[in-house]
Amino acid sequence: MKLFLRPLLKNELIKLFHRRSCRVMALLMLIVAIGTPLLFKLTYVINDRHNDTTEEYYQKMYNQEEGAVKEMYQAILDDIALMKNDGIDINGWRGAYFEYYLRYANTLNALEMIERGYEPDEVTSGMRGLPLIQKDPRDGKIKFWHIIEEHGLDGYYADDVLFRKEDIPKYREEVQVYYDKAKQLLYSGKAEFADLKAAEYYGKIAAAQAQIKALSGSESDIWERETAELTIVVYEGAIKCWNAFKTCDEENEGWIAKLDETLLKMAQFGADDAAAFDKEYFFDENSREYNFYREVYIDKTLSFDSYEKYTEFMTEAKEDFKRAVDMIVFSAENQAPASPSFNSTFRSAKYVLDMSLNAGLYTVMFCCIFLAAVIMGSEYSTGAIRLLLVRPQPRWKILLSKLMALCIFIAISLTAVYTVTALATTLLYGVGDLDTKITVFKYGKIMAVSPLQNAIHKGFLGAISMFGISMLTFMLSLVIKKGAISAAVGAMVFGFGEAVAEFTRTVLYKVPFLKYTLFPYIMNLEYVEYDPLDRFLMSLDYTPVSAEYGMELSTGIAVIMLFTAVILMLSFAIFDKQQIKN
Amino acid sequence: MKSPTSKETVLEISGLSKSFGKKEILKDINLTVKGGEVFGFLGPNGSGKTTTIKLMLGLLNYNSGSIKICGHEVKTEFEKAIANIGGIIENPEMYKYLTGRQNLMQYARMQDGITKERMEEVIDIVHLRARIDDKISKYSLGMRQRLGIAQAILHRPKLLVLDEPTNGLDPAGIKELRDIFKHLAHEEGCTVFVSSHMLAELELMCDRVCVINHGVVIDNMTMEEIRTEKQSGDNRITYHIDTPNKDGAIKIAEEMSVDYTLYDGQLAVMIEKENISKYIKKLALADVDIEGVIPVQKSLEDAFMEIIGDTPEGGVGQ
Repeated sequence: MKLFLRPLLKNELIKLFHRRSCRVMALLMLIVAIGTPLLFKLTYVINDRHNDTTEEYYQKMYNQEEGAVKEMYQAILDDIALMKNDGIDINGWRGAYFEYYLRYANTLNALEMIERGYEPDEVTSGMRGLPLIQKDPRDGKIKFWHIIEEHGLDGYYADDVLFRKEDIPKYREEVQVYYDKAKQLLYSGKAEFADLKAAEYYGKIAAAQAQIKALSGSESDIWERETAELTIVVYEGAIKCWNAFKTCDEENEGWIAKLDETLLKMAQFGADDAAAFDKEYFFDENSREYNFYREVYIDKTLSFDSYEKYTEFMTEAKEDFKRAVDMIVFSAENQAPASPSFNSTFRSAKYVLDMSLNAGLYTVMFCCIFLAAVIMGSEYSTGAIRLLLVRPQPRWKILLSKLMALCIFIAISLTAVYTVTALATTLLYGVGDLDTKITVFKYGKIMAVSPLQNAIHKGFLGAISMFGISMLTFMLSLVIKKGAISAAVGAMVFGFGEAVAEFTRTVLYKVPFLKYTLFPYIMNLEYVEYDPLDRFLMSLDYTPVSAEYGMELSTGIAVIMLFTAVILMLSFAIFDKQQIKN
Repeated sequence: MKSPTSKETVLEISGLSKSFGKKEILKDINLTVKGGEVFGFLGPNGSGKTTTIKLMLGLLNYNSGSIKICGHEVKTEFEKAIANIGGIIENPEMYKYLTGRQNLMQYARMQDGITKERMEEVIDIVHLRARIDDKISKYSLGMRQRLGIAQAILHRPKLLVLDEPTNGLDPAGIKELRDIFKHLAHEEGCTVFVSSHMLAELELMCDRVCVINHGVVIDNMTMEEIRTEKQSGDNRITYHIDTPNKDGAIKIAEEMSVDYTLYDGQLAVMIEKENISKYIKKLALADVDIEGVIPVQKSLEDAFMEIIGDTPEGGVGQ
């Protein structure tokens, strides 16, 4: 290769790097590589809410407000001071639970203030964390939201009734129960906290088991049976997670919050599902419920038009959740928190590096597509091709040298953008949390990797996608024979490709064969495999999940490589026989 | 590279045909170019000149026939054939963001045996020494043409193919280019194949001319053959007679039975070379003032127009 291709490759590299567009692109990439972490840092510095402790935040709110609401915030600050005094750190893993505790504490405060003579409007308007006494936006009336079912601290189902002052003792009695429970959780240690959650879930498992027993066994019971079975799987998994939580460090709490989110969705799924399929509501076209549910659940009913499909879905959901639990437990046991993009802020070096690399990757991709279009296209449009081809060199060598120059550009750009981004991030954030491992799900396996390894892998996948799209654009430029039009088509491949990819993924369940085509993978190779927990959440949302249709990372890489090989062979064949008419 | 001898066939085209779809562009073209010639390829716009050249350079594929450059078939032995040929097709478009030297280096790297000394020599041949390190976006058209010739002769080709090389150039540029071609033919021993519709240019430059129209080779002859053969059967020469007394001059012509024409107020007589002095003498004796007698030689353009029949399709562009 060195002997026979070197002069041609040298030619192509000289041409490539002397182009003004190439220099503009290099500048653009440099701006993105340095600018993205810098902007994140500025966002973090300017938006000082990111820096505030919970206490500082509520102090600011207190300073801003007047009247009754100010008094409400004073009560919160008093609560925080008390907890601090008792050695309870509400900024750590208890942070999220403190917010839920406040819901009940604020409600009790509000009730007390209304009794003292404040109007409900005064204590609720603009007040954060007060959902149990609220103005209903639909009719503008103040309502009390009875808790009819509760899921941990972060989820509840409420039934709204018109707020009446005479019912305040009743409301207080109801809220006090939840307040006591929330306070008990906040004041507990990690192990105690986990045990309390586990105890709550054992209760839910027992209830679900009782529900199954009570079912008649007929086919129409399938909805309830499946939901109850999933409930059991979810809460059994949750207990495992809480046990793992006992030993894990703070970084892993992202998973715990995610688990809570899952449980909430799970509960919603059960309740909504039952409501959606309640014939009384759903099939009476004149009922308000019919129209409401039709709007919200139309996709669900379309997805599950038979018992078999529903059973199939639920079986998969159960398997997904079991895998998700494995991932959480793995993450806790290995002290390797979630992927950097989850539950992170601009405070985290790991997160900023990940986000900045994403921006860099897209910029490099865009530049490479542009170059792929013009590297050959401009030879045609300027007419330089006429002098290029009248040399004692076979055409395949000329084409190969151009391809190699393009690959060298991709490699240099990626390496440069990665290096500069990493340096800029480290400079702005220090090593920060970059030395911790993260749990990822790749090639169907759960593994703990360093953020750098994860970044390099992302770059590797990005390079494969880039190579594929660039080759496709390159081939199009051979056919179009115009530099500018080819560049426009390249941009279209970039933009429209995403839409084609999304469309293909959406119709995959109807046309499974499409999983062997280029677009579902090429634009988003990195996101072909969702981790099991994401996948579970998405399937509850009825979002098409690529993995459900057999899309896997390794298949994706193979498909891109195969298609690219075909594209390349076609390119060589086209170029070899091509006539230069103009 | 050894210069071809005058007997060596440098280019041999036989039975060449080319179609784009159903449109037949070239029909059974046959022509041979020997070493050391400056060969003119003449034809009006759209006659098939550029197509023939593109086929010679391997930019287009031919349907039938053969093109051999120094004995190598372009279709089957492209690299060997193309190593013996250098060319510019229409305007020589190069990379505007590179300098003249960088452009030449691009082409030098693609061929074997081009030394730095040869590069410098070529730069001098095309008179670009002073501007060779400027970006070619700053070059004039003439300079770009000369750089185009430089890239074509870098490897000392036996055959230099030039497609409309003087297109768009001013008279000074044309002269400069013509001098370069002469240098190449005489000093470098290069056979030059030049296509043009700039007839006067070819007339001054070429040893032999081939006329093509509608994709068919109409005539193939030396300049001398053109000038004499087209006048066969009629050895009279046309002279413009510049006189204020045209009637007197016409009267004498009639007395001597000399053919004359009055065209656009100008008098022209058709008379044998040996009889013109007799006619002038009679005009002088009859007191007809003569301000000038100018012989009108038959030009290549006249011959060309006769050959292609001066039809609207065969109109000669300038």
